[in-house]
Amino acid sequence: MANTTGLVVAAVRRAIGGGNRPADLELEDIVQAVYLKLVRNDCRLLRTFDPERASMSTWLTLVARSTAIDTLRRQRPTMALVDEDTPDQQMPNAEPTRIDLPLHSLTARQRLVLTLLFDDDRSVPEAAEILGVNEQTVRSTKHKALERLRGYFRTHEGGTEDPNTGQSNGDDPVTKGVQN
Amino acid sequence: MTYEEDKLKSIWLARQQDPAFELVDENAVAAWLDDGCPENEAVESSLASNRPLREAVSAIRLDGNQAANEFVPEGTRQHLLAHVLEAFQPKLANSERSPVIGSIGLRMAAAAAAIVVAALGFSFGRVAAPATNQATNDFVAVVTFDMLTEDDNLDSILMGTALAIDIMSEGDAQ
Repeated sequence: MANTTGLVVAAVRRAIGGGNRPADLELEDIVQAVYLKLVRNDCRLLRTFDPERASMSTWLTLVARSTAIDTLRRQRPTMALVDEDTPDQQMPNAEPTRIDLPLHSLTARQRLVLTLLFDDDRSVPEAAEILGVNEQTVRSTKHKALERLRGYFRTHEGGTEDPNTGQSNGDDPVTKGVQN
Repeated sequence: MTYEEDKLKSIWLARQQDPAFELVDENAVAAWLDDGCPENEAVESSLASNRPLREAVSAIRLDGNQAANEFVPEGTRQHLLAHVLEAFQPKLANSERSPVIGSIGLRMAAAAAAIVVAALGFSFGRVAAPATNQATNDFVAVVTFDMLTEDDNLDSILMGTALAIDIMSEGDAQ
């Protein structure tokens, strides 16, 4: 009889293995968190599984891994505050300034490629593997996305750019955007 | 990386997250993975805005979904539910149950049982005892207040009580 425990434990172990795992956070705790998430609210998440749309193993691996990552992320800030002997006055209190970007002017794949490369610090080969495409496709998608952003700033902020070097002058809206 | 790209990266990292993008469920993402990650606006938007889900997908793709090889799926929700409940059962059994709550439950049960026994005893007692009680009460009234003067009435009252036996035996002795 098939058993989900092996799959869930393997997925959780892979999610937490190799990293700086908090000492007090055991594998069993996270496995239990996965099962709790599945059965919470009268098995609400479990009942969303649709075997006609996705395979059970992929679905369960996805749930287990995302739950493990989420659980670890919630633990790590606390651990960091405890471990790092940082004086209070050096802790950043202010919310960093957020910039409105025309995210809807990018395709979903362009947003995902920029997120993988910039937010997650993935390499181009890794992003290509994740998206199931070749590396050239990732580079091309990234190039088009950045071009759209440049075009948006040129149009809406009125900045100028040296067409030969590709570098912007002192009134570059991109620079303004970073400073704002 | 050009200078321009560096600045664009800084802006990108400082961007305001847009919550307006549609969020898809795990089924859609799992199906997308099973299909080899074809372009899918909804799934890729969700992945771009949901970090835990994106990291899970990245890990699955980079690991080759090796964890899935340890499992033989049977394909139905009922099977999965049964497996999960089976796996979860020991955890439920081992989960801590408050001893205070347990003792309160036992005490409540004992109190309820005591009330039921008392109520039954009261009911049966009322059904079985009215004649005796009535006779005893009448005798007490006679003795206390000297209400009755006729011997017949007194005898009829005494016959209903245990006192009649004593009085009769005293009369025989005399």
